[in-house]
Amino acid sequence: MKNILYIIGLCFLTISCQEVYNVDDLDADKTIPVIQGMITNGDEPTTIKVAYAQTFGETVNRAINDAEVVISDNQGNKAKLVGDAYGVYQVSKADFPSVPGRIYSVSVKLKTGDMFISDSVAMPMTPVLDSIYGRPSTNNKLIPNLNGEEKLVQYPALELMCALSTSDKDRMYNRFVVKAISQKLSSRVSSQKNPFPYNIYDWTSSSLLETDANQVASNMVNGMQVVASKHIGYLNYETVVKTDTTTDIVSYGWIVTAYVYRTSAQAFDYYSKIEKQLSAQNHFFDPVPSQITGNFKCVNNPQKLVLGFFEANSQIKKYMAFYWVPLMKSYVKKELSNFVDTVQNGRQTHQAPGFWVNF
Amino acid sequence: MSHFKFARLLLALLLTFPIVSSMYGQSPPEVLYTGKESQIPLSEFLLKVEKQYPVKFYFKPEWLVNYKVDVNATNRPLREVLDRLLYDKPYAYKQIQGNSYVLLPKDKLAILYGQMVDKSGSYGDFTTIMVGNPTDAGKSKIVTVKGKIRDGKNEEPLIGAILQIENTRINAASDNMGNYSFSIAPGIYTITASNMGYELGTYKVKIVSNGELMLDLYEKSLKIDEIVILAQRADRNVRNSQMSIVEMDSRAIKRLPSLVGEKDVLKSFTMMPGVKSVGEFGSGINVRGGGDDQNLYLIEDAPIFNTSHVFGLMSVLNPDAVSNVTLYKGHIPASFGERASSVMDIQIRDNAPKELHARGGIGVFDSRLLFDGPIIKDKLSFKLGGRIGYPNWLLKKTKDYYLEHSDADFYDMNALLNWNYGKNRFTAFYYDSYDKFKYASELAYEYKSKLGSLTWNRFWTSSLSSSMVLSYSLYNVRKDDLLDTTRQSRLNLQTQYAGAKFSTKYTAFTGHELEAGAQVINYESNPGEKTPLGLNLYNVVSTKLNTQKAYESALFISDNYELNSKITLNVGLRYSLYALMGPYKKYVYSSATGVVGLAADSVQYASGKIAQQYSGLEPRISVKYQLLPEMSIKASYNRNYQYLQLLSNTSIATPNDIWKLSDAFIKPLKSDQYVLGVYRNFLGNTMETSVEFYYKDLQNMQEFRNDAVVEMNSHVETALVNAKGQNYGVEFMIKKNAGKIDGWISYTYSHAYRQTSGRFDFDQINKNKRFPSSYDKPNDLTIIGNYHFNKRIVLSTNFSYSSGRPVTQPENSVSLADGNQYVLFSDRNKYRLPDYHRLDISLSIDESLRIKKKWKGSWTFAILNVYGRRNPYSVFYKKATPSINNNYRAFSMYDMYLIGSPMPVITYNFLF
Repeated sequence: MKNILYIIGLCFLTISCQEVYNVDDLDADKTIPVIQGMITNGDEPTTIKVAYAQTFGETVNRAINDAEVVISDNQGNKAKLVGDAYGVYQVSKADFPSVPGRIYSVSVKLKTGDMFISDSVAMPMTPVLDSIYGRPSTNNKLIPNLNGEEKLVQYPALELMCALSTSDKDRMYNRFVVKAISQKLSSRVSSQKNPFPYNIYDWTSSSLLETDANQVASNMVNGMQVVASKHIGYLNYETVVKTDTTTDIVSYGWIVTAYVYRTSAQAFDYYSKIEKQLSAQNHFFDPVPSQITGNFKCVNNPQKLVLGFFEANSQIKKYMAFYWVPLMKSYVKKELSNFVDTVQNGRQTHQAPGFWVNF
Repeated sequence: MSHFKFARLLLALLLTFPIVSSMYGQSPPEVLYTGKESQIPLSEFLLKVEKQYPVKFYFKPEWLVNYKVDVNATNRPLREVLDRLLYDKPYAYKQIQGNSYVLLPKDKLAILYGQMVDKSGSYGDFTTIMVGNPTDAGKSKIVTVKGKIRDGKNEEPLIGAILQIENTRINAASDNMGNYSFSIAPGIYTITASNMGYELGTYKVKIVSNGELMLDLYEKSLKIDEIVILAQRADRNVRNSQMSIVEMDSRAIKRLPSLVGEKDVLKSFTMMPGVKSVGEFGSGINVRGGGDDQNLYLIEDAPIFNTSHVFGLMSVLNPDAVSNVTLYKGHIPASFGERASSVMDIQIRDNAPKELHARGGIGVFDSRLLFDGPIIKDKLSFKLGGRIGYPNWLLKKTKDYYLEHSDADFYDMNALLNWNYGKNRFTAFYYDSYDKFKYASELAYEYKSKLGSLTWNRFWTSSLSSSMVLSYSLYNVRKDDLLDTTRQSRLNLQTQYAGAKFSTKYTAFTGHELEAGAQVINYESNPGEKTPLGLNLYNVVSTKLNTQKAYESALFISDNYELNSKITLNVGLRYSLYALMGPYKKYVYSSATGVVGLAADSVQYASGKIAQQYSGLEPRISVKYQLLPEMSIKASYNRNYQYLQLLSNTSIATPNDIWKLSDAFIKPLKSDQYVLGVYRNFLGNTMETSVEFYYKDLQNMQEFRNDAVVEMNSHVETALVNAKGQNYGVEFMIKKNAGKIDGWISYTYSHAYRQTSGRFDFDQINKNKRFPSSYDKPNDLTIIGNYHFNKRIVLSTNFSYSSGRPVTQPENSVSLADGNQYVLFSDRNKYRLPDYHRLDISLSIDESLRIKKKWKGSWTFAILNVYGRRNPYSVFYKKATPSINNNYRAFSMYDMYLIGSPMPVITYNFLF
């Protein structure tokens, strides 16, 4: 009897499943403009991207490269952004400076005559990042196999956390963009072929967070706005030190670049909706969809739909280096005053690259 | 074989073939008796006759041993001699085939033949039943007959059995204790008593004065006739002034196809016209386009707020415990209120069992056991049942990571105590339900319902009765958010209901059935309390939304009035008064901006003060016009107010949806429903047909704004949009009740639309254009067919088809700088899921028909979804790791289906 029940149960549970659902006969509007942009108090140029929304399932970028994009602030400053073929419009900080506390807005005029203007957005005061720290943990990831079945893979890792606080009464809304350069130092052992040992330096760049929509809002605790511990990514390390007979891994470390954007409640809400969509929250129950519209309006035709969001964020950047000590099962960290965060993947032998951090 | 045993055997045979004696038209030769006896024991006399004549008597000797008789007859018919000997004794005889005579107590023998002894003294004549005292004959022009209709086998009262007095416009139905009464002029009448699954009883009755008429009906001897699904008398659909009513009893439910190994009382109703569910599983039901929260589910008069285990896998009702379920989907009696769409009145068996019984079942996901029996014979009885679910062990065997690391458990139990004390009946009922579900390490739900009721029924006179019900219901939800270990939190919700209802029925006026009463309900709702889990004190701040309290009270009166032999009116009026009590903070929003964002101001109402008040009249009218004996037309109008609504921003209700009391912004839901129906039976009521048209106008419905946040929202009104609704449709039903092949076909064509009329963009859905609700499935077809191989083996098929439900789908996508993309969804419910259809087949082998067998087991073997249709349950957009499953695309739409291939189900039920 028990076996019968078991078989029946398996039948039931293995036949319930998810599958890709092809949406046929879409009645999509192909003329919905999408305007996305951000101004920060950082050094990078202010960038606005203009395109038409894609039909769902479409992969072609439908850039609008002949728009007139202007940014202005509440001090009377105004600048026209210069576009490229990909619909990316930029203005340098020299031509249009950004200062926390000022209010910014963007206008976009298309060749069709439609004029879009964003809400006026105040750039908040610069956020405070108290600390970034790690804790030994396990990075659990579901990796699909060749049959598409998701299998749990567990990576030993250092889990990165951060803490923020401010005496401001206003709630802090912070968004995080975290990248890491992993640096692996190996030593080629002497052999008949290579009698002289030498060092190998490998580095790899990666984003630690799956989405830029990783954000957190603070809570008022004892008169302070506090974010006590915010997960900002995993640094996976290798537990098997010896990878081959000719190479010994000498050390394993990471250089982490953490951008913390202090943003507005509206921007926080906007990214929350994106996160909600991507993770299909509550999908078992078929929720009312999370509709994302943004903060642009069409001036000449208020009924005209426009997507996208313009945000004015203050930011701070922090560079931290972490070094994992396998034998101690612990790590060492140090804060870097500066780092060239354009470094990508690479390998070098004998001598360390210039950005290499030695512990 | 002793006389007694043989008599019992004969009794059984007679139960099986009640007309056996009349079937053989050739009468045996008359036996003429000649003899003289003095003070001889009756039993001895009969044995003596047996020796002298070619006759046989069957009786229990001890019955007769104390009776001594004198006999002196010459060539007199033996029947006449017996008549004279027995007329003043509590025994009577019945001559069966040949010259065999069965002696039984008079009441037993009368019941056996669906008759009562004529008390006028014409002994031996079982054709006419005398009701009343002959000495009172002629004293009253109108007399009242009352009595009880019981199951003759176990003396349990039969609920909803129908009495009809031929050639009059009088009929009566038994109440929940089997009692009935009617008033009529003295005279001789033919009365029929019927109940689903029982032999029709026909009685010739001579009514002389006020009196009692106790009637016992017997189950149909051929069990295959139990396949009749609706617990209705054969022509009740035509005769009854009620319309849009669906009734089902436990034996009808027993025959329905099972979904996960057992019958599901609630989901069974979705096979009826006008009743649907959102998905293959899914919580609750949708009646004529209404949400699940618009249905009042009463278990022994106590409301239950969540009717599902494991998010709709099965309903919370133990099918063994349920004796009768009635769904009012159109004309709702005035004694019921509280909800806008329907009332489901669920009765746990209200019986007086003679001996202890147990029944139960073993299924894939759960097992159940139920006991019922007497504590004090005929006075005090109990019913105690429980069910425990164990889907957990199966989850562990799946290949899906999330399911494998999930836990699910549930149980429910019910207890009922029944005490008959003179003209009083007291019933105490308790129900407890618990569910736990942990989804991997992301979410954990725990929800529980506790209900109880105390009922006192009092039968003052044969035409006056009253009942008092105290009911209580508590629904608790706990949801733990575990995904982010640094922000784990717990959400608690609670809805509490305490009610008292008094009603009285009066039936002394000819053709009238009056009912009046009052009801008061106290609601208390905790819409949310969030606390940190563990030590995450800084990241999760403890928050509690204000508890809301309210009273709903109502007065009601109704009359079922038979105007003439063709027209019956059922008129009712209910007046409901609702008051939201303080402490309550009423937010004030600027008229320039509407109800959005932060309130401009607020008004605080102190504890005990009325913060908001609503009231309304709820007329309930139905009329039946009997065109032909087997055909009628009915029409009804119904208004209902609903002061408690479920705020759910999902198509499929979740356990943590919030029950919200009406307040300054959320006005009571108002429903006006108009129904017109034509009912026609054929082939001696074995074939029923009906068509019903309905139109429902709904005001103050709550729809959700896009991205509405309900959880822990102290300004929940800013998440809602006021909408009106229009539901309309036509429902067809053809049902065959008897024969080797039976079943039914039901088809509904309907629409359920919603429309906002907001001034501001955020107060509009689809720019104020009418849109279909999630329950809008225009075409809905159910075909049920059963083939009876013999008395025990039945092959059943169930085919369901419905239009796909409306969904909102992405139309555009937007690429983001980080490589992700988000989507722009269409107008609300612009698209539809693919049509739903499914075929199930089952083979049932019933328990043994042998009466003496103590342990009786039955098996059901079924294949669900025979041709493996993958009916989408929900559709959603998400990011996933590219793999072969999603064509290596990270961003796709997915559908989730629950039974994607043929699924075998086996069930074992037992009774002892």
